[in-house]
Amino acid sequence: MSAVTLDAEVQLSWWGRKTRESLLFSTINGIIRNPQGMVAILGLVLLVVGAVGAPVIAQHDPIAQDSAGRFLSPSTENWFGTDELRRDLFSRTLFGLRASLAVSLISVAVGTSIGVTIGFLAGFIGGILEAAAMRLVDALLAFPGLIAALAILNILGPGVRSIGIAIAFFTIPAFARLARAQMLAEKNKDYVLASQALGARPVRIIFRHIAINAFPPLLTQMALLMAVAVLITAALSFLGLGDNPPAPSLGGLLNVSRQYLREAWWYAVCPGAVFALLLFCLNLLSDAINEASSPYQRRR
Amino acid sequence: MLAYVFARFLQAIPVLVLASIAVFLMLRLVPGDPAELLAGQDATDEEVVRIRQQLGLTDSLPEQYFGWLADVFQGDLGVSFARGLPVSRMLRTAIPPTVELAVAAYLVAVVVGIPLGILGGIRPRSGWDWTLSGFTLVAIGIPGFLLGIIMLWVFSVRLDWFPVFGAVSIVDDPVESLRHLALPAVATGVGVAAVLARYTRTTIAEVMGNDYVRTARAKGLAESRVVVRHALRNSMIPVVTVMALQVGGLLVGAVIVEQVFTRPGLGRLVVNAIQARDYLVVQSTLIILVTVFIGANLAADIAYGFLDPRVRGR
Repeated sequence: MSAVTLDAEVQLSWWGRKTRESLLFSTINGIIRNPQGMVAILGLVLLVVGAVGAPVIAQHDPIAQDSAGRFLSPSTENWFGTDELRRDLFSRTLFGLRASLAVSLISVAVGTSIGVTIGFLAGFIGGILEAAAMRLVDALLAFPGLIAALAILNILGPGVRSIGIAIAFFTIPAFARLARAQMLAEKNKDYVLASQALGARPVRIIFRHIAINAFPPLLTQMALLMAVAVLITAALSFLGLGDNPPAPSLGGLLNVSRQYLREAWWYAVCPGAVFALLLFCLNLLSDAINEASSPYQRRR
Repeated sequence: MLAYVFARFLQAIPVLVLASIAVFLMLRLVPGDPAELLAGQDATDEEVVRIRQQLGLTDSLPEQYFGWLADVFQGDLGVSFARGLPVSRMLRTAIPPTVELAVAAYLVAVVVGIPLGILGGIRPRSGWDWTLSGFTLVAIGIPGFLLGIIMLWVFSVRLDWFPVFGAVSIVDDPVESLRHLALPAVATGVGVAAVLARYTRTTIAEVMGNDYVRTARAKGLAESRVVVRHALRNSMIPVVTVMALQVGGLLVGAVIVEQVFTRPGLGRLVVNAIQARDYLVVQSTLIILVTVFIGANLAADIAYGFLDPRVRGR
């Protein structure tokens, strides 16, 4: 074996594993090579650019009632037409997408951090604490997300903030369980024992060593939960429980559009298509991640 | 078998107790004084005091819980403060339309999902299988309420085949009732159909690769008999479980789809109640949904025991 190949093999990436063997690397590689994954990524990039760049891309203010008329059909001036208050629907859709994505992303991130912390601690410490935490997690997992969300909305009152808290809340148990399983799998491996022997404190071992190795499966779960979060956010604002008008949301647009199906089909169809594309891409992405990270289904 | 069913029932009890405690605590978790919240903003002090006594808020928490539980078992769910009606009466009018929708949607899911899954499963990678993959991808990806709006636009507004809103009891006028039910049932059921199809396909494809299927073919059985008698029977075990587990999801779907078609039912009840901050109504609806959900899980377990002798042996 020549010195050059040896060098390449030992080269470490930032997460501290040999690049060629890293699960994360092979997962990402697998997603990109999979046509489904590529479509999903392209679609999501398009949507995220639209959402993040909404203030720049949209030529109209989403709230200003400044178009030439009510219910104008799609044209080069108003790409998605206009609504009952002469507002531009393309702008409203983009800003609605932006709001939905922001709520979903922030609340999934918060729920993930809490859930992973609980799971890691439960798995690392073990004993009664673990048993208690996991029974609680089982109880939480037994209920569909929307029922839990309705209960939280009942306590906190309707609104975007409540929806965010509800999503974070049902994100917690799924991640707690997964993180605990990861912790149990990792905690007796040699590298953990070695750092224990070196006198590293538990917090350092958990977050500096184990967390980094447990990362890829958590990523898969995050993609899945993003799809659920986007769906629940839209469903709740569709039910009229999450909006603060006149600010647009994808679900809210669809809800109002129902009353004007006779006058303006584009009111429902255009935001609906954007919403469907978003869900479609998220589902494709989680399928692709799943396929890439599962050793049984991995393409050779 | 009886012992198995009994044991499963016993296992469901702690879950129900936990759920009931969670629902009970919900009202106590609301920021502020529950009595003042229930009385509404323009209530006088006497009214607040009366409600506080009515709810037994002066007792200790365990006392309150058991008192509330006793009331619930007697069918007394309290009085809606927004509408002034007993909650149990509001539920009695809201439940039948939702149950009709859920049952119809369930039929759609089973009638569409399982045959599609079987066809895809016995001929993997055939034209049928690709049709199935396309269908499940779209049907799982598009949520019921979006599908509902699209169908409403196409079939009710453009083609004028179905009514745009409302519901008619199946007892009063079966034909009109079904016309009102058709679109919501499809909108709610298609997603579940896709889940069932996907599941059936996987299990059938798996079973078809087994030795006993090859043996059945080798001894000269007609293909239809191989599929129905040998493959189907064995692959239906997990499918029945999934069917029962989907009941909860279906009910939640129905609650949202009701809103699309402006149908009366639990969905409208709970949404209006959350907006009006009518806590007792939301609380009671959630108890019902949770109980159905736990019951469905229990049914899934019991069905599993019936179909697979190995499960109940333990």
